[in-house]
Amino acid sequence: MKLLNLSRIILLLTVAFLIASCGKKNKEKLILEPITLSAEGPYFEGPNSFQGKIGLDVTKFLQEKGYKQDQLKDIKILGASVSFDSLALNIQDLTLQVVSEKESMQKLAFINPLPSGNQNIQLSIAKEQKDLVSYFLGGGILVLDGNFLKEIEENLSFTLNLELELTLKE
Amino acid sequence: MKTIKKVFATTLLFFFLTSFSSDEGDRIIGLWEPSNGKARIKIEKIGPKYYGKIVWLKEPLDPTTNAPKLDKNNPDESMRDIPLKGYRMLKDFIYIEKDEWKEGTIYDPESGSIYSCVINMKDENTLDIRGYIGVKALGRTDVWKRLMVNKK
Repeated sequence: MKLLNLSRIILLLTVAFLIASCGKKNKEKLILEPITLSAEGPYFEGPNSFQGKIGLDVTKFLQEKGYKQDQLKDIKILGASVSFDSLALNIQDLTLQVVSEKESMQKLAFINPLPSGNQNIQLSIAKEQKDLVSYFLGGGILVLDGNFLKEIEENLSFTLNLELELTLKE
Repeated sequence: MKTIKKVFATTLLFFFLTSFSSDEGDRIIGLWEPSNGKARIKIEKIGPKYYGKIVWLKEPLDPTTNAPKLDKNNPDESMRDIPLKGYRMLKDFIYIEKDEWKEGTIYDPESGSIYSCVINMKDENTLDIRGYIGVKALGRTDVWKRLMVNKK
């Protein structure tokens, strides 16, 4: 009987601990300032890479909303679109990745094949997104890989628009 | 005053050594071919780390679809339509010293598996690429040769 009571107490304490440690979580949406991804030409036929740095949008957002950085528990990419100036681009596909000094490279989104005649392209988002917080708080670099179907001599750049979902602990 | 000079000299030496080490690591940048000759890998630097992507495939088309080969074995199903040409199969390598790049991974598109990996430069044109799970001694080494690019 005593053993049964003890196990009930342990169970109650465990549930109370779990509830306390989880806390209430808020989800906020944030559209980042457009990010320019560039690389110096010429670009050869085949894979070429374009890079751009992640700005301080998330840090500023947290400050404005009165959150501390350690309240930010998770970031998910909800939407990613890429736009470019030149219609002459002849690109088969695009893959977006993120990397930082401390974290490994991670795929975020891609499009294959690229729809023709469209200058604003919505990318398919990866289902598996792990620990993105550090990339967006710690100077992450976005890398856009594109397979070019022909050589292009002029300098190109892409504009990336990202929509994020931030999970915050109250 | 002597202490300030010492600190200044040590700082200068540190920056000199780290920049030298960084340049040493850049020797891996270039075009490489694995021993099976099925692909060519371009190694480049992003931030402080080194990455290798497939830029050429001996058999670029999937015989069943007759379309460019895709990463059909990717564990994340949502990423299986990414083409293999352009795929970054070497990731996150850091140059430490003594012709060795560590802490990276290598991806095997034929199985969809990721292995820990260490790269050793035997000479300017030869790399030993050792992939392993857990213990380095139980891995497998492949020899890659540098390809010379004809400049226009």
